Amino acid sequence: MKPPPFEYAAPETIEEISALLAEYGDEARIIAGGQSLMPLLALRVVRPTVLIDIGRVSALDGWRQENGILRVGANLRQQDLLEDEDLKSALPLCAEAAPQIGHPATRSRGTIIGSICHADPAAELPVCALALGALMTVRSADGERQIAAADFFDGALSTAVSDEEFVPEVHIPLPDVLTGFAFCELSRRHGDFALVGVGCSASLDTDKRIVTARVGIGGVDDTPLCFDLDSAAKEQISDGQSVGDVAESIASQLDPGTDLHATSDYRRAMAALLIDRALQTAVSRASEG
Amino acid sequence: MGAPKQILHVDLVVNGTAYSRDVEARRTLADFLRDDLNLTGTHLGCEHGACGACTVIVDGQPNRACLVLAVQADGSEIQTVEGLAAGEQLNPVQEAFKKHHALQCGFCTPGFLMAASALLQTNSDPTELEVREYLSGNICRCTGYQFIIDAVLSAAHKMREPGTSD
Repeated sequence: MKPPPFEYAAPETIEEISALLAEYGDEARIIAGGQSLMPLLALRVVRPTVLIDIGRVSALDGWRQENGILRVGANLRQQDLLEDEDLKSALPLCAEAAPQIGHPATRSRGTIIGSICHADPAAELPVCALALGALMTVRSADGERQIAAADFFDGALSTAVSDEEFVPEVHIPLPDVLTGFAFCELSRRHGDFALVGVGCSASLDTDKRIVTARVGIGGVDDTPLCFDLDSAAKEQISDGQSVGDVAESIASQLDPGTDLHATSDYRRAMAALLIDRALQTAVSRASEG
Repeated sequence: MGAPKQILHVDLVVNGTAYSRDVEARRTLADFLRDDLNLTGTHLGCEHGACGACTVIVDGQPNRACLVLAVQADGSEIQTVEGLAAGEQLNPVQEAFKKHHALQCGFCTPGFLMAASALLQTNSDPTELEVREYLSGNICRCTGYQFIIDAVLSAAHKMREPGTSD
């Protein structure tokens, strides 16, 4: 179908975006790359009065590193995760997930923050945001606040961002040397949303024992989920015991739904397998430096 | 009745020709090409970004024209399937599709040709796996894909070494 009629605003500054949101609230929708919103418009799932195109706000372009934080702007495209060598080395988890996000023709427009804000429970980048401990900057005309990725996702396609707010930037803590990452997913076809997607980060001390390890999982609930390994699990893996037991224990806490593509039991079994694989890989990459 | 329609002005270049039109905000780039510019080579399959039939190249990047608003493409340079052939002379990608039977009904073909062209513009020597992954966003219900993959690999070879047979 065709999108329903709407007014179109193309602000050039962040302040103008905030002012438009203050005026229109839940009648406005933000569009950046539009690769999630355009299908919703075409299917008439959303019918905004005003579409606010932030694509011409140059302050939201690009990324930069500052005080150990990687700051990603709302207009940074998913394709940049595959083409920008500096970004790839600063964000190895997202770079590993990137080939599995949609297709070249959607990654070329789709943004990193747009995918996180769309909050599809099976999408790759929300899982990465959780595993990386990202902080979402959320802005309205009244000012700015930050929401940890772990508190960001409310439900399927729903986040903690209010109708008067938008996300100009995400802050991702830059890893130290002894940190490793891995992303694994299972999908029916290349580029499909994941049946199960897993992103892991693991940090080691100089004795190569695990200090922190975090697992993000998509496709198994209404939101992507996040698990921090407890000290027993970290000891167990540091002592060289099987990662499989830890993976099984996390997977046993999941209650995924059944649909046409996979049963609940199958998703849980695949989650255990992928957590095992991603955790092992993240730890081994961390120990290699 | 609602408020009067908001009409916006769009200037863009398609296949080297500059166009200037007034459009509604909700006009997609795909409808703009087909209905405002009468360039009906770009096909619309699903109209919500699932099938890839409407793939065009915008500023050197493949885009699904149904997932871009015409106003978002204001100021862009666009290549569509109409820009591939020189008159009656097919370009190497089109020629390879013909030779390898990479189309049957032809409905999805403009999207495949543009996606393949976008790939070959950035990677002149793709592996079979790279071709398969790159074209994974395009759906064809006739060919079973193998002949399309064969055609793209053959076109790549031909474009790298003109004059050789494949």
